[in-house]
Amino acid sequence: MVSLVIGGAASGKSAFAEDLILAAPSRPLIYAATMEPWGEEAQKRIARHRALRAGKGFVTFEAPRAANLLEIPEGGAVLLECLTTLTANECFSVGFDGAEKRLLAGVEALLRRCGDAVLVSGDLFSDGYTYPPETERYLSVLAAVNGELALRADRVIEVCCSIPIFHKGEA
Amino acid sequence: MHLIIGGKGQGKLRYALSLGFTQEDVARSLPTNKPILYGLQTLTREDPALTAADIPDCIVICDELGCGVVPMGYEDRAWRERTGRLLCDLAAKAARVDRVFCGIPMRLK
Repeated sequence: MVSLVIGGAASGKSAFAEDLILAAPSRPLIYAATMEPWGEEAQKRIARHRALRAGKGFVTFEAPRAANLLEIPEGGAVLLECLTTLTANECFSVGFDGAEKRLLAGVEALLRRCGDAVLVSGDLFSDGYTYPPETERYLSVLAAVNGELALRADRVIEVCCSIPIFHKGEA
Repeated sequence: MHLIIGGKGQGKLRYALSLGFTQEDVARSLPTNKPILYGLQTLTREDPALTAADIPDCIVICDELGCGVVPMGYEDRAWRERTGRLLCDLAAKAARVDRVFCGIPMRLK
């Protein structure tokens, strides 16, 4: 089962995604972490997410680049968090050219290897602003990745104030 | 509590008023005992320490702030984060949660 979980900032999407992957049958539980620990805010965010996961049996696998997804062990239940960060890393650290292809190829390889997957992404598309060209390009890559993965996923769930809204599939 | 959320200008207040209230019933600051508290996001902006315990049991209306690019400014990021967390707490307490999109309320809880 592949689930795509999307929500805004501080929408409760991480906690919901965790509950989903804990309920999946495959094991081991693998947390594919995408954030690079640069700066105090990133460290706080990582610490908050680690506290959420503590004692639940996750093996953490660092995946700051799409290519890292190819190295994730087979057969497990993978929580990939989060595509907004992975896309940013891929666009801004590796390069925009081919970023969408690399991301989709990495995720597809992961989905073929794992037993179950919950992919977390963000809704960054409704603030009404127009950003500098690089940011706009990042947004269009992320939107395309979200759209392709929504086609691929068995379930697409938006989380709003911690409440899930099923856009595709059922609870 | 009845929580009404949604993007800016989506018709949240109009929807709340349609439940049988007038502008007289709308509060825009705390404390209040009016039936509608409007614009929670301005209150979280002004008071970073606001928690679910500070919000009275009434119709609470708040803009959704989280569906955009991470803001450049620390204060903007912190405001967005604490407002989102507060909305999660309020939604857990609320008997009813609606999200208004293009004037149409969608019941989430």
